[in-house]
Amino acid sequence: MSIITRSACTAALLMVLSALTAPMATAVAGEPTVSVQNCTWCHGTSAQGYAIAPRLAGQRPAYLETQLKSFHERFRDNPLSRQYMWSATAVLGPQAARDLAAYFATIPPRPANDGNRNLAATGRTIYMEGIPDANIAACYACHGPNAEGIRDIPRLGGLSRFYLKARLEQWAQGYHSVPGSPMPLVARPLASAEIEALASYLSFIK
Amino acid sequence: MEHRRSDRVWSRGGIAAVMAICAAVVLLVMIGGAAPASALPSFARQTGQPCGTCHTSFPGLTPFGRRFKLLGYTTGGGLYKTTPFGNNNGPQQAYAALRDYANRTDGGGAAQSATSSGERGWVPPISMMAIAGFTHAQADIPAPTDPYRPNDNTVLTPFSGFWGGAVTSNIGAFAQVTYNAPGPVSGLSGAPADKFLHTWTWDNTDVRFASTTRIGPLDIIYGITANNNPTVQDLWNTTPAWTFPYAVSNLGSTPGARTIIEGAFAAHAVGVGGYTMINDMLYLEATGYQTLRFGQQNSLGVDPFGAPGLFSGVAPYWRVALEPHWGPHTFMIGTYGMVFNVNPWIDSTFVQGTTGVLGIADRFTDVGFDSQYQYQGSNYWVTLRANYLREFQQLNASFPTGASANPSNLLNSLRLTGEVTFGGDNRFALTGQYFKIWGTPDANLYSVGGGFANNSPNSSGWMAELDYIPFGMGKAPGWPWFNAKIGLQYVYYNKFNGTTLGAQDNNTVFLHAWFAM
Ligand code: HEC
Ligand code: HEC
Repeated sequence: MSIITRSACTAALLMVLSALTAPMATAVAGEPTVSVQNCTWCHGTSAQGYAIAPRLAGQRPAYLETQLKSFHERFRDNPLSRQYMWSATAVLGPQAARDLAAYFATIPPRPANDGNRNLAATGRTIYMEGIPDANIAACYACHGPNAEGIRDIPRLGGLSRFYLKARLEQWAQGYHSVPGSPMPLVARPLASAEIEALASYLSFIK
Repeated sequence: MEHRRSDRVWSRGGIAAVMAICAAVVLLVMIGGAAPASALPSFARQTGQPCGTCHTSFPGLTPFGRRFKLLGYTTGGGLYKTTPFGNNNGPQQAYAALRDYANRTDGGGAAQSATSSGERGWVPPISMMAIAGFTHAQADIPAPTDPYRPNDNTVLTPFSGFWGGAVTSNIGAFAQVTYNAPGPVSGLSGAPADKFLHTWTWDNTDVRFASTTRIGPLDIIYGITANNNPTVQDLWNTTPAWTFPYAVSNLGSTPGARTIIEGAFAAHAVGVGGYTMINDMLYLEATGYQTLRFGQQNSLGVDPFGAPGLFSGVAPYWRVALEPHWGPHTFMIGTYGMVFNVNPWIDSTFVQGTTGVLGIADRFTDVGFDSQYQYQGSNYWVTLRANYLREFQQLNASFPTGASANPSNLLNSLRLTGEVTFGGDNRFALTGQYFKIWGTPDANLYSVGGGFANNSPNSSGWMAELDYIPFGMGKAPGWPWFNAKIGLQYVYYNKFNGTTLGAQDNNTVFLHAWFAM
C-alpha cells in the first residue's frame, strides 16, 4: 500500500470513527457532547476540577446556574473569572446554562483531598460552630452538616484547597460573586489562619 | 552528520526596517483596543478564549492549552460555529440532549428553544503567520554571501498558512504550509542535489481524532494522531518539535550535530498513532512512522536529501508522561523515544543521478527524559523545562561506507530552560536556556570539512530571549484576530562544533517580529 493510499485510509478511518461517536453522543442523553467539552476542556474530563478550574461535578444545579448568569453578566469579577469564565459564558444562553448546570450536578463528585490534615480539626470546629467572639458565623447553618449545600447555596465538601482559599479571601478583598450574597459579610472577619483551616477541612469531605 | 541546509529568503536591509516594523506593531496595539486574539487566531475564534488561556509565550502551552490539543483542537465555546457541518453535534444538539436528560430527571417541564445567544456562522479556521528578523553574528558569513551582506541582514520570511481547528466535532487539525526561499550562495553545496531545494513546503501537521469515555473510576481521553514530525503531537514544550528557541535565525550558525529525533525527519515522514490520557494525569502514546518516498517528498516541497535517508520499515515512537497538578502548580515527568532504521542515500549530492538508498541500515535508538514544572501566579507564569536525549547509533551502513569512523557512537543533547512571563494582554516573556550537545568523537562524521574540530560533535552555550507579546490587539480593521510577538534573542557559545576556539564567533543577535492573523 502506498503512503498516499494509507493516508487516505487513515483519513477515512478518522471520519468513520467521528461519525460513529457523534450520534452516540446525542443518542445517550447526558453523555459528554461537544458543548460539555467546551467546559470539561478546563474543568477536567469528568468535571472534577483541573488545576485552577474548580470542580463542577455534584454541585447544586441552582448554584451553578446563578454563577453562570453572573459570569455572563460580568458580575462575578475576581481575576480568574474575568480571565477565563467571562469568555466561556459570553455566548451562553440561559437555557444552555440551565442544561449544563443540570448535567454537571448529576456527576458524582470526588473530594480533592489536598488540604493540610493537621488543620482539619480546627477547620471543622469553625465550620460547625463559627467563632462567636470574632463575629464569625457557623457555615453549617447555611451550607449544611456535611457541606453538601442546598438550593443555590453551594456544596463545599471536597472542593480544592486552592480554590476555597482564593474564594474566601476574595470576598474580603471586595470582589463580587452574585448580587445579594451573604458571603462578603460572612467572609470579612475570617483571618488567614482560619481560612486555611476551613479550606483544609472542606477539601477532605466526601 | 548531515548539514542543515539553509533555505530561507533574506532581503537586504538593516536593523531600521525591523525597528520600523516593531514600531508599527506597538502603534497598532495602542490604537488597537483589547479584543482577545490567540497565538493561532483561528483557535481563538473557535474557543472564544484569548491566546493567554492556552499560551504562556507562544507556542509555549499552559495546562489548558495542553488539554485543548489533547482534545483534538475541537473544543468550541466562541461566537462562531465550530464546524461547517450541519449534521454534527453543534452546541444546539448537545443542549437538546442535555435538556432531554434534565427533563427526565426532574420530571418534565417545558423545554424552551432558546439556547446559546448570538452564535454566528462558520468561518474557516485559517490563519497566516510571518516572521521578520534582523540577524547580527559576531563574525561575518563566509563568502560568497549573495544575495546577502556578510552580516546584519534583515529578512521577511518564513511566511506560513495554517488550518487550525475543528473539522468535525471529534476531528481537528493543525496544518502548516510554509514559504522559504534559497539561502546565501555559501549555504549551497554546489552539487546537482541543490535542485531539490524548494520554496513552498508542507510544514508541521497534526490531524487528530479525540473522544472521551469513562471506564470504572477512570476518566479516559483517547485519540488518534496522524502527523509528519515525531513529537509535533506532544503536549509539552520539552520535546524537540515545539521546544525553545521557537524562532531561529538561519543566518546565524547552529551546531552541526543533533540527534535524529530533533527534527531530522520533520516533514520527511508521516506517522499514525494512538494516545490516551487517564484521569487527567497519565499520558500514553504509541505512534509508527514511515518516510515518504523520494518523489512524494519532492512533490510536497521537501528536499529528500535534507534527511539522512529513508526508513527501512516502521519507526516506532513511544511516550509516557505523568502530570500531577494541584491548584496553580503542574508538574510533569516523562520519557519518550524512537527507534529509526535508516537506509542512507547512495549519493546525497546527486552527482551520480541516483535517488536510491543503500541496502543496509544505520540504527538510531533515541531515548528522551523530560520534566516540566509550571506555576500560574496572579499575573505571571513561571515554567521550568528540562529535556535530556541520549542517542545510541549503530552505524551498520555508515561505518562500512566510511561515512563514519566508528561502528557505533553515542550522542547526547541537554536543554534546561526557564521562562517567566508577566502581564495579561500586554505580556513580556523572558526565557533563558542552557544547552549542551556531546558525544563520541568520530573522524568522519565530525570532520574538519564538515565544520567540526577535534572530530568532536560537542557544543554548548546559553540563550536568552526577551519577548513583548501584545496579545490584546483586537480591532485591526476587518480582521479582529491579529497577534504579534517581538523578540530579541542572544545566543552565546562556550563551545561550537568541537572547539572553544573561536566559538564565540558564532554568537548571534536575532531581533524578530512575529505576526499571526
Ligand atoms: C478556559 C478555561 C475554562 C473554560 C472553557 C470554562 N471554565 Fe468555568 N471556570 C474556569 C476557572 C479558572 C474558574 C475559577 C474562577 C474562580 O476562581 O473564581 C471557573 C469557574 C467556574 C464556575 C464557578 C464554580 C464555583 O464553584 O463557583 C462555574 C459554575 C463554571 N466555571 C462553569 C463552567 C461552564 C458551564 C463552562 C462551559 C460552558 C466553563 N465553566 C468553561 C475555567 C474555565
Ligand atoms: C447566610 C448563609 C451562609 C453562611 C452562614 C455561609 N455561607 Fe457560604 N455561601 C452562601 C451562599 C448563598 C453562597 C453562594 C452565593 C455566592 O456565590 O456568593 C455561598 C458561597 C460560598 C462559597 C463559594 C463556593 C464556590 O463553589 O465558589 C464558599 C467557599 C463559602 N460559601 C464558604 C463559606 C464558609 C467557609 C462559611 C463559614 C465561615 C460560609 N460559607 C457561611 C451562604 C452562606
